[in-house]
Amino acid sequence: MAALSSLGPGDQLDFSYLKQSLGATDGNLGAHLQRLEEAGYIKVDKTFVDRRPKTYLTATTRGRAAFEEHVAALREILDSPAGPSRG
Amino acid sequence: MNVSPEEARESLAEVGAVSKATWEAAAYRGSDWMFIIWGLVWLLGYVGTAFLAPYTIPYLGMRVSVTALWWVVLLAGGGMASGLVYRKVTPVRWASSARNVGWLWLVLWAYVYLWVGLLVPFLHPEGTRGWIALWKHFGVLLGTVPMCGYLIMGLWLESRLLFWLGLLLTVLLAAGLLLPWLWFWLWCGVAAGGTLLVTGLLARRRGVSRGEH
Repeated sequence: MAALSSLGPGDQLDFSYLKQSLGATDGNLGAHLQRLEEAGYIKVDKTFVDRRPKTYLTATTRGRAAFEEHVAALREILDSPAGPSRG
Repeated sequence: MNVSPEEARESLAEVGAVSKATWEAAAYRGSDWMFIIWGLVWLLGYVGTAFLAPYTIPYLGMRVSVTALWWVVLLAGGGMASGLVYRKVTPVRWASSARNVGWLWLVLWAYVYLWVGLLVPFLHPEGTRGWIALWKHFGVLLGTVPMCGYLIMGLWLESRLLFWLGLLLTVLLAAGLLLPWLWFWLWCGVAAGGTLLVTGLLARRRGVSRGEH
């Protein structure tokens, strides 16, 4: 989600690039992305470029919002003087 | 969220690193090939000008400068090659064309043609020396337009490489004005074109296009 959220709304990221940059395998990344897609956080677009299959990923509005909430929660943990929050 | 401050700090650092790497890949992928392509364009363009400048060819009742045709072919070829490379290597399909760096270059060149077009009616060089000086200044203008683009992109993308490359080549091109006609064009070809070419070749070896700079 960090990679997808760093781009603008609607911008699509190549699955192959994401796999390479994260050092993940097709299976690992594919499973992770499937869960994100089922949650409505990303959209997966399978197409052809120069007659080669290509998969592009886009963060949805809901996905961006969920990611920003997650980052905000992490920052709150760092800023909180009481230590990690529970629940 | 049941996460320790240390884990939160590590997660945020990883988020920052991945975000930065993605954005840089979108902007830099293929930059090594761009330096090589445009290095060749400038090298061939400037060195070609040194030897082609006196020649014209007849076309539709006019005399057309061979140098001008040479530059049109090189710039068009460079533009097409850049577009093909970018399309092949970029990991991003942009939703908005405004975020496509290619538009920055098109707008920059369009404005330069506009400014030159606005100024040309007021330029009346005197004698051969005046014309030589004028064409040398145009030569520097032609080369420093993309250097301005590099400086802007260097500041925008926080890239030391692009910024200092733009600045260095601007200085080298301007310094060439001190040289006589033939040496000026050869100097621009080697200094500007050669530097870009070498930068591209070094970048390919060091993986700059993968964001390792």
